Amino acid sequence: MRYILFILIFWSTNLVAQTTIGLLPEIAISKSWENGIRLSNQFESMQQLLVNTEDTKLSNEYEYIRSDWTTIISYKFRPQASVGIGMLNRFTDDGWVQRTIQQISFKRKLYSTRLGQRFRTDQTFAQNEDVRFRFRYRFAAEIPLVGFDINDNEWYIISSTELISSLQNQKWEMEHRVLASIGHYFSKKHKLESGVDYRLSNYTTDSSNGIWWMINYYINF
Amino acid sequence: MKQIISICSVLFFFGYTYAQELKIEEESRIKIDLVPEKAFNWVKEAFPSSPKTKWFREVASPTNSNEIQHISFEAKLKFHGSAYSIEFSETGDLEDVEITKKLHDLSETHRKTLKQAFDQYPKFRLQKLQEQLTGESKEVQNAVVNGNTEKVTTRYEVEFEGDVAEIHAYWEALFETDGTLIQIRQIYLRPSDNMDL
Repeated sequence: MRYILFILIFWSTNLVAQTTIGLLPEIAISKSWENGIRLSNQFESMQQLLVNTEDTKLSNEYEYIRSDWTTIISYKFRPQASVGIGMLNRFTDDGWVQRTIQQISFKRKLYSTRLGQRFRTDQTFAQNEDVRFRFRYRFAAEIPLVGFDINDNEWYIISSTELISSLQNQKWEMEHRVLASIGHYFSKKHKLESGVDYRLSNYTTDSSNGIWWMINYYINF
Repeated sequence: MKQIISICSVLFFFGYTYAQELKIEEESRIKIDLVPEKAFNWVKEAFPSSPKTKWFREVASPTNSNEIQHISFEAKLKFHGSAYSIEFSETGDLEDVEITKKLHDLSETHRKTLKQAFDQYPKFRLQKLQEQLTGESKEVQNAVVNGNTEKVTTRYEVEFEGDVAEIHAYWEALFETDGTLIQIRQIYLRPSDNMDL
């Protein structure tokens, strides 16, 4: 993990215009029903700790960036596949942003590893801005660190890669995210994950990137 | 900074509190020197070419007062392209051998009877098929080594997606070679919120 972090920091502080390093804690609370419906509420807060630009060295600059509250209602149409719609409310110092979300996700088990794919589209509405349309694809792998399955009180690794293309005012942009976390599965109701979320955006012109330390807590009822 | 510290503290507090919950089943990788000698020797005799073997200790905790804790040892290995799972009791006595198969690997008779059995489940999709061998230890070993299954009991453990009693889910079922269902249970799928959100 330390080696990966070193590479990310080296890459990000040398090859792109701006690098931000910060915290991204999240708590997700979900309630599932036997008919396959699940309601999820996700709270996330992004806070910058360090920043580096082409002209300055990595410096300590704390800044609150945003808080997100996302609600997703999904329907499991097969045991390992679900379709969902949702709404995000984003609170920033500059105002309130809203986003509508549509997604479909599939999971499958390959030996001891659980693989997941998620296709998501969203539309972002902010004051004095054109609507931003995004198309996202994420591939994730969850690997138990003990045995062939993740049982109560066992550790696991979860990693994902996601490509995001967005369209706003007839201009396309791309973003790539890579996540690597270690997780602890307390029980079917509680799990905790912590790791690094690396985001590289606009990698054609004016590229910027971020390295976010994630602490995600999942609660299921 | 105080804001950050408070968020992190709350998250870790939740983690510590719920780490105290009872474990139901735990499978852990173990070193060879913790494997009962009888179990180790059984695998060594059945597979003299010593394919790479992973050993696990499985503890199934009782879910009610009528059950007792079950401890077993399991060897997992690959031999001639097939995955073998060999389960032993706590004292090293053989419990069963499971060999992962494709449906087309089975004899025509068994394939036909199993397919007929599968037809009773709407929306059936086969996920995993294992041939299960049980019986007297030496005879099972003989079946594994020579393929002679006459003196052992052969059954098929099948994991599938489909409708059972109008519930569409993942199921694990055990069938006789003539297609008779011995037992069936729903497979618990862990919440996938971390992959969906």
